[in-house]
Amino acid sequence: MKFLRHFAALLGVLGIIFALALVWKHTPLASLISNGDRQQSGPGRGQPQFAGGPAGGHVFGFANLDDLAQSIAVLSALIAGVVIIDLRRRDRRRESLTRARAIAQQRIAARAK
Amino acid sequence: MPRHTKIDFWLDLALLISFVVDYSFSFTGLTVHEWTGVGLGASLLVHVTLHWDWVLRTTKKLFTTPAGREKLRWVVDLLLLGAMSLCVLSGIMISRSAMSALGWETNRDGFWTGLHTTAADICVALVGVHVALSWRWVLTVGRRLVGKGSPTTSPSTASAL
Repeated sequence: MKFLRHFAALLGVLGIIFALALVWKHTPLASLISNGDRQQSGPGRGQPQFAGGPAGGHVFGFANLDDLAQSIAVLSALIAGVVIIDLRRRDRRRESLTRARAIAQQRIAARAK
Repeated sequence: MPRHTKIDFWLDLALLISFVVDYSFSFTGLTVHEWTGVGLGASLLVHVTLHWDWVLRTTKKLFTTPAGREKLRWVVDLLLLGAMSLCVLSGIMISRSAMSALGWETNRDGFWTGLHTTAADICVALVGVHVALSWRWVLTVGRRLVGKGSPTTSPSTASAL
């Protein structure tokens, strides 16, 4: 029951997103992305294929494994980048905590003297 | 390990792999691309529904707590939900194989095609950040599943991560 309630709420959100997309389509701002024939490079942008090229007709083109490899590389690089930033942030926070703790201990020791 | 943690982990992994494969259009071809996209859309519905509690909880806390990791995760997830929804919905609108197999002929136009590719590119970046923000949870649960370590909660509930 709870799952269904949450599911219905999510469908409502998706409905709003779709409605906003439809509104967007009928505004001058649609030209920002309304460019179906543009050529792009790299993985995932299959504009020429969407237009009915040979790459669209196959089922798993193992000759195009480099496309998959490129997708994996892009995503891995992104994940690695964020993880490195996160680790550095944690290290910095840990260092500043250690420094603050050391200063506090020095003050306590100074007062004790 | 709680059952829902295992479900979370395997579902998230399946979603990630499906997304990467689906994004590689030249590799999959049109038919596989479209059906994988439909499956991805359905799985995402389950994924977000399973984490709806976290969405509500974090949204309520959003304006009362200072900026932090949870807030960043919420913003990334909100953007990802929007981009992924637009990607799947526009994919349905320009479908040539899957939808016609279901008896629905779509009227493809430049707007939906442009929206589909733009949303897909944005999704790649956001998926990367989304996964990376949960990397400690992924590592911990992954280790536990192969017999090392001890995870506790899902990435959404593990605010300490």
